[in-house]
This record gives sequence, structure tokens and C-alpha cells, in this order.
Amino acid sequence: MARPSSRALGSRRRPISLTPLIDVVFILLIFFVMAGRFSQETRLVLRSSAEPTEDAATPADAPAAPMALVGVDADGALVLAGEPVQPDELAARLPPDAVLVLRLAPALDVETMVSVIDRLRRAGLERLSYLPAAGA
Amino acid sequence: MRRARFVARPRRSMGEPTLPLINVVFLLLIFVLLTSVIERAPPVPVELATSATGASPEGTAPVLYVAEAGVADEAAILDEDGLRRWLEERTPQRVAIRADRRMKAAELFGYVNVLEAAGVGDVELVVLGE
Repeated sequence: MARPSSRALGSRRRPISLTPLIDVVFILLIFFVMAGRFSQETRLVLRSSAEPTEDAATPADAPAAPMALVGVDADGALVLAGEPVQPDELAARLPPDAVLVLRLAPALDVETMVSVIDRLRRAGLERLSYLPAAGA
Repeated sequence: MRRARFVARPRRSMGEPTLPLINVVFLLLIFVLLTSVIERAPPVPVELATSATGASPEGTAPVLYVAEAGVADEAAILDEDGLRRWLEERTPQRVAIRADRRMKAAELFGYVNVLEAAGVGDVELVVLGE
């Protein structure tokens, strides 16, 4: 009697199991969920320097907060009285309720401006207003 | 000598049931559909800046899209008169600006000044949280 060939035996094997496929798909799913970033939209309040920067908690008859004019270069560097300054130094020099008026360079883009706002707020300077440079 | 007889057992399907897989895939699909926000493409293409210190929005506010190409609402690009009419029709106390991160900040504040002059109390810049 002729023995069945190995090919004929292979065709009689059971179908490929789906379980490893599902395992791989779920491992990929977990990888993407862990490695991915779900960005959430947030908001920054913008006030031009013409508008008062009052907090709701500030009483109307309170003395005006001190103001400091700080230049922002096109690359995001801060300049106070003609000298470069870091946000931490600014926070140390100014009183906590000081209003920082940022004079924005004409070539400054929005992305760089937002990164400057982040650096200042991390340093504790929350009261910001903005003054675009003349000729912008 | 009697030879042993091997009787072939009835063949059973050995495949995995695919119904649970389909269920899971459909659950994932429903999850993605329910949690996603589908938005129309704005008339002015905008890429938002990224910020680590932005605050979560409270309530809803009318949205303006601002880029080098100009200003637009969700339907169309607005010229100077169009923006004035937009503000007169809505008289909003808050406006959310979705500004392109590549545009000049001074140009953005040109629009902020227009909004503040029209009586808008809070002008908010929409950014992506880190």
C-alpha cells in the first residue's frame, strides 16, 4: 500500500488558529495606546496692553499693580532694560502681583510667543499683557 | 488474524470562532466614533501651537480661525466688513481664536485689538496641551 505523501498529510492538518493573530493585534493596540499621545485643546487668555489686566479677586479700589515692560525677541529671548533676562530672574526681581507687558518683536511667531508664555507662567508670572512692536 | 479497523471519526471544524473578534472590533469602532470629534475643515488652514500651561475651556465660545491668509469663521473667510458684521450679529463676551502657529504674533494681536475694541471681554487662544 502506498504511503500518503507529506503534502497530502499537510492538507489534512487543522486550519491556522486565529488566537495568535488576535494576540498580536491586541499587543499592537496596547502599544499604540501606551505610546500615543491624546492631545487636549486648552486655552490661553490674551489681553493687549490697552486692556486692564484685573483679576476677579482684585478689589476695584486696590492700588494699581506695578508694571514691567519686557521685550521679546524673534527667537523668544527676553530683554529687560536692554539686557537679556531669564524668566526666573524676572520673577525674583518683580513683586508677585506685577503685570508684565510683553513687547513683541515684529518677526516673533505665535509658536515662539506661546513658548515664552509657558516659560513665564512656569516661573510664576501669570499676569501678562501684550504690546506688539510698532511697525509690525 | 483479524485486522484492526480504523473508523474515521466525523470531521469537526477546528477553526476559532470569529464572532468574539468581530464583537471586539465593533466595540472599538463604536468607542472611536463616540469619543472622536469630527470637525469640518476650516476655510483657513490652521496648525495650533502647543502649550503646557493652557487652561481647560469653560463653556463654549464663538471661534475665529486666524492665519497669514486672513481671518475666517467656520463657514467663510471674513474681510474687514465681514468681521465687523460677525461681531455685531453675535456680540460675544468671549471669542476663541484658533491661530496658525506660524503666523506673526503682531498680526494676531491686530485681530485681538479689533475684538477688544468691539467689546469682547475675553479673547482666548486655542492651543494643544502637552
